[in-house]
Amino acid sequence: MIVPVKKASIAILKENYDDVIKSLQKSSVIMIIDGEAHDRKTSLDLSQSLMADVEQSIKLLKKYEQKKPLFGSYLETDLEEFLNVNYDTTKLPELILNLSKEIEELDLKIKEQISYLKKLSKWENLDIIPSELKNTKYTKIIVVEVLNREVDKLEKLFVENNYIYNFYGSDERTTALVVSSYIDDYDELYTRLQEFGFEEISLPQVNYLLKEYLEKENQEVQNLLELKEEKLNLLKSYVTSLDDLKVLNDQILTQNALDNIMFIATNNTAVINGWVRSDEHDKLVEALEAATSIYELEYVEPNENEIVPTYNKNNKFTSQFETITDMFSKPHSKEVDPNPVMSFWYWILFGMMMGDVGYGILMIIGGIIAKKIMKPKGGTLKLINIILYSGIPTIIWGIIFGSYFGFNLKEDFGLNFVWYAFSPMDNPIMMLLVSIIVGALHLMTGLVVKIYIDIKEKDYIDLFSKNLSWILILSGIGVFFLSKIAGLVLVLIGVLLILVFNGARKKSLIGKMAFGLLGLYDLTSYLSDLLSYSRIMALAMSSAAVAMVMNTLAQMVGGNPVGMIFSALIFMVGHLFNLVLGLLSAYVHDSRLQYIEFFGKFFEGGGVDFKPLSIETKYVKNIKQKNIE
Amino acid sequence: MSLGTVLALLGAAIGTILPGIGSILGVQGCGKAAAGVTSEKPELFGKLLVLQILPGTQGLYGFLATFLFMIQAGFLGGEPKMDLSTAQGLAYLAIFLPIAINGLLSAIFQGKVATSGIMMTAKQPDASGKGITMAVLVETYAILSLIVSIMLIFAL
Repeated sequence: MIVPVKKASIAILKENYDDVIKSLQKSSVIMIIDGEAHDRKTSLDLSQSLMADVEQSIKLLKKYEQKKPLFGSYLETDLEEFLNVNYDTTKLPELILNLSKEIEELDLKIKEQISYLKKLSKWENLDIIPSELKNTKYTKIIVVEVLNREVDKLEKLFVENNYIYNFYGSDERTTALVVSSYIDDYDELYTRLQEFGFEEISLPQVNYLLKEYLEKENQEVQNLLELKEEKLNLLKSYVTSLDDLKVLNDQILTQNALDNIMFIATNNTAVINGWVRSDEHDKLVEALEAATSIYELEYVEPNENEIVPTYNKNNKFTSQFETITDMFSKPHSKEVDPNPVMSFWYWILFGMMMGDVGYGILMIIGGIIAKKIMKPKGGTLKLINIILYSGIPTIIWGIIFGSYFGFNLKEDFGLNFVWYAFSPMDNPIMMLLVSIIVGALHLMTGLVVKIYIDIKEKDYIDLFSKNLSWILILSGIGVFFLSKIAGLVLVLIGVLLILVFNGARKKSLIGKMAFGLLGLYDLTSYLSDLLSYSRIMALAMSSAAVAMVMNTLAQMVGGNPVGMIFSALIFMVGHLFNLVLGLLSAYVHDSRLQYIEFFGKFFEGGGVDFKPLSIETKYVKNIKQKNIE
Repeated sequence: MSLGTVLALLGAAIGTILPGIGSILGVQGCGKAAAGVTSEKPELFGKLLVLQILPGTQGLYGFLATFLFMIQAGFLGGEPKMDLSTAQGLAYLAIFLPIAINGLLSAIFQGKVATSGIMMTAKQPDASGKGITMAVLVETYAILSLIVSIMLIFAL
């Protein structure tokens, strides 16, 4: 059922705007229509820039979360608690991000220092105090690192020329070298050295031995590491505030929703326009009165080009299947809600495509467990419910097909008391026939809905020429196999209706006749529609065949104890695989049959969802409302 | 083993291989697109997975036809028909052609439609249902071919 949605116009004093809009958001009754201009922003206490910081902090802290919940955390708060922002929490993101930045900087510093000390470590055995290692009046000193492979040649050079030199430690590539010469020879030495290639080194100018310096510096690195560890632990301790941050994130989201509203304002008054469900008038008044006593509420006619949003209100069973329709298109607000009829057929066809008692039981058990553990919301919950509910027709069709995890209890185990109608594998023609008959009934249901719409809109020509006629023809073909005469009569009446009414709107006689004949051309589309239902047979059979393969494989390896284990493993994994694949195919192809074949007969769609201004959440899964209602 | 049996087995092989190749190409194409989208929008993974797996069914259909043939011809838990005449063998070979060829082509092209659907879902997550429906329309012809192949297997 589609609940009518009315356009409300609420005039209030501008000074009360903040209270009113917050109260409306809290009770989520109105879908705001943006006005021309907005005069000022709502006074919000949380800045938008905080949002990015909060999100970054949450992402950061998530890395340090000790126990990661298997199916995502289930966060719950109280409405009152949610609406009162805890300002201590707003300071957290800055703290956390600064801390993380400090840690990063420390990390970088430590890495640099370690690589510097590593390079310097080859000078560890230098027996001269670095600050004393300098040029004198007559000598010059060169402090360099040279390539290891040149050491021998250099040594020869130094000995030949009587330079004073000393090699110190080395690593895998270079060797530390100090060489000194008379000031007159310096240029020559430098040129000679250049031929071998070297890297000039500036040692730290300390007045004690390098060994001591290295020890000191290494100690310093240790200290830095400890400091980093300390800060990291502090950061990790903030994980306990993760939930608070998540709540804060959603509080900002909720406030942002208010920030973007455009309302019409004069000097002293503000006008909020919006859509309200006709059954929620009282709730709207209540929300307004909670905020102010001075207001003017009136309902106005929507403009011609405005699309009135659609709100579906159905019983628990049907409402689960609304997502299927919404994926195709939200019903138009003036339309007949297709969900009650569609949900029933979706349910039946789903079961037919699965068609196995064992799988049906697994779907029900799996659905119940998934709901218990994951505590899903919204679309996911509805999808799980669809699978759970569809377990029932799956069991029923499974009994009809005599399929229990791909086994036929009567044929395979000799349990003669087990009844079954026919097995799709043994009697594919029968399966095809049943699929097409079910398809014809499905199509005829769609036509009946269209007849209901035609009567409502008083479009009798369409009723006779396109809908009643085809119901007669389709049922006539069916009746033909029971009683030839009755069947023929029904088909003939149907054809006659098309010939007479299809061209009824044309003015000329030739036009009437031509369009009457043209109406019969719809036969091709009905033929393709009906044949399309053969996919039910294909899916039921492919599911049954794969189940049979798994059973055969499991039986093949059985026989000894080790084989039994493998056999059980193949059985379980195989059937689980088949179940998942079957569910996916059934979901997809069942949807298609509804969209193309069924909806094509009567459904228009093109509506927009009724989304009232409400509390926005991303992390908080449930807000307990104890004070409302 | 007669030439006829060899021809029948050749048909079974073609019936498994060609739709399998189609599914491989279709699913990998979609997978590449889906992986790209997932890197930007990981929350769409579930929706994209459904779209990606759509061209995978053809491979299963090919397997299904082959499996039914194996039961029918006694290769699975029965007396294998080792002495089919050449004409019978060719008949089995012919039976596999519908699902083999249409399975191959429909999987490849369904993959292309599904890839577009993945792109559409990336921009408009709510439109994934429409993308799925568009891709499923392509599969119809593989299903029809499968039905023809199965019917013929049971007829022989």
